[in-house]
Amino acid sequence: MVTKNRQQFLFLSMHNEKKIIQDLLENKTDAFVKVRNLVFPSLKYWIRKNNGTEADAWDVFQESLIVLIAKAQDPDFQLFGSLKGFLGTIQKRIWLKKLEKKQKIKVTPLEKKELVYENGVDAALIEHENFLLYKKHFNQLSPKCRHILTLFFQKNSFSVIAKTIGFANKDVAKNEKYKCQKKLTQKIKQDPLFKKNQ
Amino acid sequence: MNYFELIDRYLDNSLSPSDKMAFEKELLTNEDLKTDLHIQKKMRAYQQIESNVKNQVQQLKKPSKHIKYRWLWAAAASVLLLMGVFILQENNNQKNKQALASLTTPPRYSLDKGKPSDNQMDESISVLFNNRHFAAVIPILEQKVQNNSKDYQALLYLGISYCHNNQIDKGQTSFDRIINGDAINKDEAQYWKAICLLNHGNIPAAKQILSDLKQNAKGHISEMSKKLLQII
Repeated sequence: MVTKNRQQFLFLSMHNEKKIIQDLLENKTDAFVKVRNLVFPSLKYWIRKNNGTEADAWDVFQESLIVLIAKAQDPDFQLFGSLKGFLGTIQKRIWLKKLEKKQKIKVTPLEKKELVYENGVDAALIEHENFLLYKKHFNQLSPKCRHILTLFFQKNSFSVIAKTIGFANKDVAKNEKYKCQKKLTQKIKQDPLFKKNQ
Repeated sequence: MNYFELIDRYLDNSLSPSDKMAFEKELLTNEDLKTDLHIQKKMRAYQQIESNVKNQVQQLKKPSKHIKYRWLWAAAASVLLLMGVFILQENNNQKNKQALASLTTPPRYSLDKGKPSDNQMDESISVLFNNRHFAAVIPILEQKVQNNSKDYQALLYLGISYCHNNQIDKGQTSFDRIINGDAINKDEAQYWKAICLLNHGNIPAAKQILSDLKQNAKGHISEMSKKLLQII
């Protein structure tokens, strides 16, 4: 009887977590609130215990959600464990990586090993590396290129881009956007990390 | 149609059926096209997801008031007695909320009609900043500051934009450049630095700056700091 109830409980929570992920993909505020309530208090506590602040916890929370949503867009994505466990592992790995970078702390292989316990986490961490890689190269573009591409990604028409930036017409805007897009694509392709993660 | 336009149209699903078929046939053998398509697809996805998540997380950071239901029975017992006090407090809270909003809302970016050289750029900044499109206005403000490193007014708006875009360190650096430079808007920079700290939960540091401003700043900044200190 206990086992049956446990199974029902697991089925219900899996169903709820699938729904939460679907709602995150649709950018529904309720889903973000649920995930915050599910993982943020323990994340904040853990990060504070590991040389971080509340602001660091929010940054890590934000990055882990970007990774989760990017992964969940893949039609083959499957959450094998619990959402809390999946996000928790990703968040800890993100923070340990940031600590390694910031304070040059060497994270022991044991600490890393302890965290890898859920299927799909390694793939999510590659997604995180890719996200940071794209962001790094985007941020290294000139302010003008970033502005053009930001407006383009926000689905503005070339006429609006031309007007906002001050180009003579939409053809000039189109041309400038392609130049920026080409530059960004080349930079990403030349990055050794991109080749490694391919 | 150039190379990237073709990729964009494929991703937008706006190619004709025959062009789409030709594109997909090419994809089977052309590794470069496959990689470039993958990069464009990821770039679009990351931009969209990051923008959505940032906005949602910004909202989540705002403190919410949770009702403690287990205390409701106690509250119910004394509700009549407390009614008068409650109404007064609510009134006060409402006033405080309004005051807090007015003291922490970024100033509007107004166009300086006397400077024709930057008109196009200033108009873009004005539209984007005043409509709170902070991510989009940052590159233009960066450009403006790059054009004139002593444009402290642009630097102030850049600092505010960074803070609203969760780039706290860059925001603080922009404010510090004004504070440590020969600007006339140093007090203003200190004030918005405090608001940035406040919005990101560092209340003690914000209070410290506001106390200094209350004592030493001139005019409206001292008054605004004093009012804010009474609320937080």
